Amino acid sequence: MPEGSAQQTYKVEETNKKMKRVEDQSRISKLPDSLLILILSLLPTKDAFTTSVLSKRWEHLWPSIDSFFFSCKDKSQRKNFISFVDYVLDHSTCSKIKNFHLNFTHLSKYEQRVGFVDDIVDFTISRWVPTNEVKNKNKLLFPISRWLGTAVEKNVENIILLSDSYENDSIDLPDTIYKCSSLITLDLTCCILDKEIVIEWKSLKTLRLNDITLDDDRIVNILSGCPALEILEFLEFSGFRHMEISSSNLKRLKFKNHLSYDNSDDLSLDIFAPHVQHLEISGYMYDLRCRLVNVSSLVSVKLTFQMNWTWFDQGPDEHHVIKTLIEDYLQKLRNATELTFGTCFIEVLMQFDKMSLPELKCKCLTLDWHITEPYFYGAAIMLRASPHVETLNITMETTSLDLEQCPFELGYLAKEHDIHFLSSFEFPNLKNVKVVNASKICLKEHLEWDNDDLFKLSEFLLKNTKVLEKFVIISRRKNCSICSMDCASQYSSRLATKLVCCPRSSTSSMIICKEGAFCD
Amino acid sequence: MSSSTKFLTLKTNDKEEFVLDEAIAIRSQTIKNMVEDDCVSNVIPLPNVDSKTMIKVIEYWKKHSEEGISKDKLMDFDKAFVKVDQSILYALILAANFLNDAEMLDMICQEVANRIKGKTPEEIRKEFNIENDFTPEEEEEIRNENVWAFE
Repeated sequence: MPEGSAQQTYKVEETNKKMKRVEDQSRISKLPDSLLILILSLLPTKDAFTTSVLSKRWEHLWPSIDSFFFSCKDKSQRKNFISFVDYVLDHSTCSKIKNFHLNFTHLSKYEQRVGFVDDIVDFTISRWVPTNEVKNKNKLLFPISRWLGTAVEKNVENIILLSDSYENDSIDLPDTIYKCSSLITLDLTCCILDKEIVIEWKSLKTLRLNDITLDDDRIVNILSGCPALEILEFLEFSGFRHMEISSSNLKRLKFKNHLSYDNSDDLSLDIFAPHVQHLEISGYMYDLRCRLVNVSSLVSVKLTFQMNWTWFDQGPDEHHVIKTLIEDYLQKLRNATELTFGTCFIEVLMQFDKMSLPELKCKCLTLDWHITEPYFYGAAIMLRASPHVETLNITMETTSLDLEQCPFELGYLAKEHDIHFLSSFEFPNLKNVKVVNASKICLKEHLEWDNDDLFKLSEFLLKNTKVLEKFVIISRRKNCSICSMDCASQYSSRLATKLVCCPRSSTSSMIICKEGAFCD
Repeated sequence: MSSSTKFLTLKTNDKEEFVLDEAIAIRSQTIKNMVEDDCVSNVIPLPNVDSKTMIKVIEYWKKHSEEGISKDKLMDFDKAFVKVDQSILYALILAANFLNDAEMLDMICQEVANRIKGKTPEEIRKEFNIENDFTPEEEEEIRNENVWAFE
């Protein structure tokens, strides 16, 4: 055999071997860079960085990621964490940052002040900024501000700043952020919005401010600086008393949990929002009254807030104030088609005379319900005011009722209500009723009860609804952590069994009992 | 409207033909652009997609085009949809990328990301069959660059 031929055979074999090896090798590494970078951009940044050590193919991919998710899990790790974020941002080659998420739970200024400042200065100067320390002093002290500055330089679109801690001092934002026109979403926790700097967030669509005190001037400044804003949310809010939204782009407005620092007698927030379509006021409002002055475009409204009853516990006059407030809400919500009311609302409704409510155009009504409370009268009054309702959802509340009830509240919960007027009442449009139990309350004791108010209401609905199609009872959880039984599903199936025997005016209606976290 | 439902024929690289409602097919930005530019004759060739992958893509498109389907149901569907071999995931990523369906691409890339998340480099290499071609010294050097990330 000629020499060359043997060599050729050898070569072919070698090539085959090579090909086989390539085949065996990871197919993921064969994806084009752009797609691998897309995958890395979806990971927590620590995990994305980890891939640099996998193989040479992966070594230089991570600097191109366009989304950053940083979270410092542990106080003892914060120094290393800061150097890690600095390192990653320093090496980032992307021209435009899409997402910048930071959970700064263990990085607040508070911690820096007490014995941490020196560490940071030393550390940062020695490693990253050996010169020009005066100029950078401020930046050095506040790494979060420095990182946000980098994000702004790279035309960041979405910023989320989170903290799980209640001990935070506020974060100073870099000056450049106020004029960042690339921002689309801004979600800030515990930050100081500098009063002196004018805001220009031209592209901003969603603004969520958590635990940030703002005065009326700042609110005006925010609203005029965000002409494209569509969603505005305030969580743990305080300070402002007046909000006038003239932009027709802003469709969603939400307030949750008012922080009460103010002891003035008449604490109210006036809301002018003629173009807003979706409004939510939830959580604890303490003594703040949100007054809807102009809300003529509302479509869906969720009012599940709790007022601090005990603060009003000075006499019947104080309660009259809340009653007037709720009466005013109902007037303003007449044209909305989707309404959700919390338990506080139903309690106040129990004070109302049966005739005093305006007719609501609502088609979908959701009522939160405390299983232990006699809400029948309040719910019936609400339903009576809503003859157009097609869908009624009753959601069993997750939190147990505040035990600090005042005598007035207890008084009308205990009141014997005249419900004779209801016997002649019909629900002309009601097609679907859904009772959803997602609460964590143990229902074991209630299994013995024969006539709770939820059963009373359900029985009443079956009897008076001619066009009812479905009455669905859903239990979202299986085992109860308190009685370690399936009390919720037992409660639901017992309710269903009892209802099957009740008289119904709609012959084609069905009673359905379901179980599971995702069924609807 | 419904009487004028238009159908498109898509032809994969293994010569299979798929007839699909245009309203569904234009979930692909690539196809949408072709339709809008009026450069669709009879058959749209998809040179980068094979029929096996296309069947999955169409299954996804149809589910996500169902009227009134709840978010929870779609989430359940997506979860089951990505429970497949890696090789199928990569084929789907390449197809979604070529067809320019950002939603689907993100969903599948997220699944790959989930398979990487929280793992050590050794675990990731094993999971994805990645050969470590660094010398121990090289690897050590990279690890030393930012120790915190490898703790």
